[in-house]
Amino acid sequence: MAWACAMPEELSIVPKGLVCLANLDTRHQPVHRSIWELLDKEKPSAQLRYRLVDIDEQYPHSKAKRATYEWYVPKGILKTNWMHKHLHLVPSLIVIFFELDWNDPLFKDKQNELRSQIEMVRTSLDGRAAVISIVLLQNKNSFPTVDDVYSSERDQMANTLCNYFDIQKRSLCVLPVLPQPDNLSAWIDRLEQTFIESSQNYYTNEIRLVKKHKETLNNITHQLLHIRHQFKVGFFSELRQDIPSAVKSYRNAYSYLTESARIHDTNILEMKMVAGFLTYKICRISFELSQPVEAINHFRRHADIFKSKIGPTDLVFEHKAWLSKQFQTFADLFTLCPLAIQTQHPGFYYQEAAYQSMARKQISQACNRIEQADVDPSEFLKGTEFFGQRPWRQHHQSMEITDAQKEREAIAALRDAESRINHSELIISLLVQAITHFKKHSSNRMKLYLMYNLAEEYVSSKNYDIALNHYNHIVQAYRSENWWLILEAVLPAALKCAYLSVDLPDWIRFTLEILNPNINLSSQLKNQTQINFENFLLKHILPPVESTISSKDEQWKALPEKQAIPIDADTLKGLLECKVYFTHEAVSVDSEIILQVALKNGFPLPIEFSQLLLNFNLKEYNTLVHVTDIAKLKFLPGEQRILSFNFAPKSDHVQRLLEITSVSLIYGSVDRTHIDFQWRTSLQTTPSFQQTFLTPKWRTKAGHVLWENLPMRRKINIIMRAAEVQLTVEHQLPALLYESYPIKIKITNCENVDIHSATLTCTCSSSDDTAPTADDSLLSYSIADTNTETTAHACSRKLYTITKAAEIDQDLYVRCNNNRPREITIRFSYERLNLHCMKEIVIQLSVVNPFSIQFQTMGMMMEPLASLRAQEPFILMIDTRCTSIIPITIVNSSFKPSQFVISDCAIESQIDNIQLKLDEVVAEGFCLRTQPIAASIVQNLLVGEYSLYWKRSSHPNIPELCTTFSLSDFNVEQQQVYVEVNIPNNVPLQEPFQINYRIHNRSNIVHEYKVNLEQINVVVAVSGSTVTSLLVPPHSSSDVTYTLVATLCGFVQLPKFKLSMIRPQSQDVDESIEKTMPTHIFVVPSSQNE
Amino acid sequence: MACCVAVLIKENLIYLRRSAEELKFLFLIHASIDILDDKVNQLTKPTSDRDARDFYLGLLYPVEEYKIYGYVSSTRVKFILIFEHSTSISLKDPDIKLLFQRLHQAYIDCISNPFYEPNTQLKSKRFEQVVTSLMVQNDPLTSAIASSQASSVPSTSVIVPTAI
Repeated sequence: MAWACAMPEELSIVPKGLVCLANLDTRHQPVHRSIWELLDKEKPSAQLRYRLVDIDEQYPHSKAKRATYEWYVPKGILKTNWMHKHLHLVPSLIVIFFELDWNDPLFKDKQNELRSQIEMVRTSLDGRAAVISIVLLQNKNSFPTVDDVYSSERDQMANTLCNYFDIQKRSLCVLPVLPQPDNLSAWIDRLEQTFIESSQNYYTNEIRLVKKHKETLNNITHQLLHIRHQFKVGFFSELRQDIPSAVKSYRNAYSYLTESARIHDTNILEMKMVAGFLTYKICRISFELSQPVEAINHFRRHADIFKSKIGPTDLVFEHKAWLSKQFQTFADLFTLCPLAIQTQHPGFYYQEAAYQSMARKQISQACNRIEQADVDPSEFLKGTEFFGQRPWRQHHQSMEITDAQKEREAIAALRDAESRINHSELIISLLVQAITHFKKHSSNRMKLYLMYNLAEEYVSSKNYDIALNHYNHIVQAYRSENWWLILEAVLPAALKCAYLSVDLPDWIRFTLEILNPNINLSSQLKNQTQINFENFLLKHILPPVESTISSKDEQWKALPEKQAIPIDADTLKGLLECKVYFTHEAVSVDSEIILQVALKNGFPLPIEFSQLLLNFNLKEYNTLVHVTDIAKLKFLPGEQRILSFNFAPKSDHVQRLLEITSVSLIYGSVDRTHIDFQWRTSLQTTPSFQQTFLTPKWRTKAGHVLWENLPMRRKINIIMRAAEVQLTVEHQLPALLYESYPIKIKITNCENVDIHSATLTCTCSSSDDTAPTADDSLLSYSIADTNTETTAHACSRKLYTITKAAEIDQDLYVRCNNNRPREITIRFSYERLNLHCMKEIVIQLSVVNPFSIQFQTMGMMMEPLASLRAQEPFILMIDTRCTSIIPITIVNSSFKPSQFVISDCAIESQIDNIQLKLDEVVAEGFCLRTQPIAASIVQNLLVGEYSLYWKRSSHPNIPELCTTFSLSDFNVEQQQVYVEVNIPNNVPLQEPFQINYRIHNRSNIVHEYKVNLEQINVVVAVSGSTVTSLLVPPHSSSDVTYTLVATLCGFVQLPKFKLSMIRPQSQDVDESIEKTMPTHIFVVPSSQNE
Repeated sequence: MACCVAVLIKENLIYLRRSAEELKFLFLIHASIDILDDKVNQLTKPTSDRDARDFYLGLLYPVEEYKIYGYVSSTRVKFILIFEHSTSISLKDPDIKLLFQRLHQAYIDCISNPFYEPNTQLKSKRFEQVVTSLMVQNDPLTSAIASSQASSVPSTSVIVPTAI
């Protein structure tokens, strides 16, 4: 296909200025070779292309440029060899390498030799303006250093040489690399800079020359030259790496072509090809400059302009081929650009290229082959001088066709060539590329469309197996999205393809897809499809062959006689539906499982299945549900039927879950080829939030259940036989901490026989999720030693015989050692008819504290004490409060003083069998004295242990519990002074009595006190002096005794005893000491008066 | 004018009208679900600076002969209009948006019918009429656009709706 869809190779090469290197002997000279390798190596931003030439290389001749174009009629736009010539043949610069040292003894001879070489090159350039450059390879030892005395002399020599060779001075370079180069690449880089400069100068010059022609052109006859010149300018600009002006020139050329040039049938191909070239150049540069929008816009415009320019009607295929190639090359360019998005990526262009090729293929099917040719058709297909011209009328630029006969022959030859082309290959490769891009941009649905095209193309190229793969994918995808309309179109083709590739499973699958009620194909076609299906599977009649396709009877006959074809019936959506339903969620092991299997038929004709089989997760049941009765498996179109199965669960499957894993319905005889419809995933119970269909009354007939309303349940629990006993418990919540909580269990035998060897098991488990461990409860059937620390989470007991209808009681005691809530499970189990029977009760237990105690200390005057005083007496008060709603009885209490405390008299409990209800308090007091202490202050002193003996009031025969509290956390202070008052309990009226104050000094030094008994009133008179001073030695005591007389009966106030410190002066007597002293005395009438 | 009108819920077609019984339309509609889904996802992103009430999604993807436009309602019902490339050159985005809004309104009217079962095929004479008016050439359409434009601007405004 040389003409229309060819892109010349030169077009796709990135143009770089051509530099010819002469006299480099890369084969024998290592230095030459390394120079060449450094120059020629791949660099990303290389600006020049190098070529090794011989010194006598011939360069293409330059035509004599005409001075005027006045009478010139151009023959075409672009010569086919022009790009090649300037890329590979015409150099911009010729570099001659020559070994010459300044101080060479044979300098003159070599100089002459070089000059003759330069002359030779000049001759072979034949007027081309390429620059000649000389590189002198010199010994590096002779190279001048910076302060070389010879430098000016060398300069002089160089100048002379330049003049002698007739070259510019900057074209002479020196490379000091012999005999071994140092740092060659740095030298080469510098050398290359001068090359680039010279090369660019050359191309600038060429551009100027081309532009100079412009003034001499006119717009009528020289349109083609305008285009050609702009193209050349663009190409030269690219060669000199001036990309922006290259694009500008190409764009100019393109707009000349599309806007000013005349396009008619005879030159349309040429115009299109050049336009294609220009578009290629513009788009490629735009993509390289990361301007994809520019490229896309240009290409869109290009496609829009030329899509309608079809050209001669006999050669439409040529137009399509060209269009296809345009899209393809654009897509190729786009692929190199990373900036693609979902709605704009190369896939779309490959897709369009494929469609254009498909259109071309369709057109070319009308092309006839030439069987007997009068003329050689190859004559019309040979190469041309200009791009896009017709070989049989080259350089022809008029609108009329001169030789109509020749034109007809030529077109026939072209059509002949077209008809020999394998379009499918082209289309398939385009489609595959498009699919790759769509896949990359996650457009799966668009991909499907292309896959459909691809499948069709594979069919037309007789690649049925590959086509079938695609069809399978397509059908599945569209089915899962319920796009029946597309499936209607795809399925018949897919079925045909399956037939042709003799793929029985796929043939059956597509047949079933066609028979799906959602597919709205003609009933005749559907009926025929089902008949073919039945005939093949039941009667072994081969599927009939359509007249348009070749028969594959032989291969079909060769299919194996017996094979099972599994069909995933979950995907059949409406053709065949199945629902399974266990009537109960759980079944006890002594009753029957009832299972319903509902089937609904959507085949257009009546159908008869041979077997129905259900598979369970427990293999033992697999054979139980098996229908082979054909009458039950015969369905009319649209008929639904519910098959019911009853079977007993196996006794060893108690506590297990029975689950239906699959349902399989077999069509055809099992010992021949048959189909196995299998349901698996669709048996899952539909989620509960899915809407249930409300059935309108008019749609339900009597006794008819709407399919949608049929329930699904594919799992059933097999549970134990229920025990025929009554199990009740009596207890009174809450449980009290540490008590043996009594539970009365009552078991009544309701079986109609005696129960033997039953087991009663009680277990305790924590119901508090946060602290599941550290369960410390004790379960027992009898009251064990109540205060042991043992725990037991379970207790079990055998009950030997319970006679029929009898009731037995059993007590259970639970002791809880912490406050966490817990569950008590009481399970009664026994064997009956070889079945395990069980009854279970769960009790939620909450545990509370039975009572709380509170204690405080008081002085002898019943005043509250913040801290105890050492060696002084005090009163300990203990309050016990009932905190639970359960009444408790406190049987007894005891107080055991610690070693720090003594009691002056025997300690006796004041509590005896006192019953407390909620919030009631019992109080007890003990008079105690602290022992001397070592330090002045002792903290957290343990006073003693207080034990309470208590029990639940409602159960008097349970032994009482002892709960012991240790009383600590007392502070004791050592006081300096303690006044002990000795006073009679009561005194008779008007009789003198003595009151004795003993003052203890508990310090280590001598104290002197001033003692004053202050008379407050005359009710109690003091005899003698009231003020004295008193000396008390350390750790001893002194007494002060007063004699008083009371003059009034009753509870009278005593004179106030005041104690103040004389020595040491720094200290003072604590005022609180006054509070410890009696203030009143009880005076009774005198006995004399009686 | 439009040569194909389609309404979809998720990926299920609930209404389709084609000017010709061409399979290609089906494929084009099905393929445009990809783009619609993608655009809807972008729409729901909080970062998108689009107006949340702007349901018009514009040109979906390039096909040579046709132009495919999309529109999504707030309940994610998708509307697709396909125009032939040649007839649609004169159409501008605001015009197409108006067409979609008419279609959307007709859809709302249609599903407001208490006898309409949700997610099933649309069968409504009124809806068909609107679709027909979208599909026939020029006159009714132009007038419809003109009238809707006129109603959308205040009567005192000097803007005169021009024929398209």
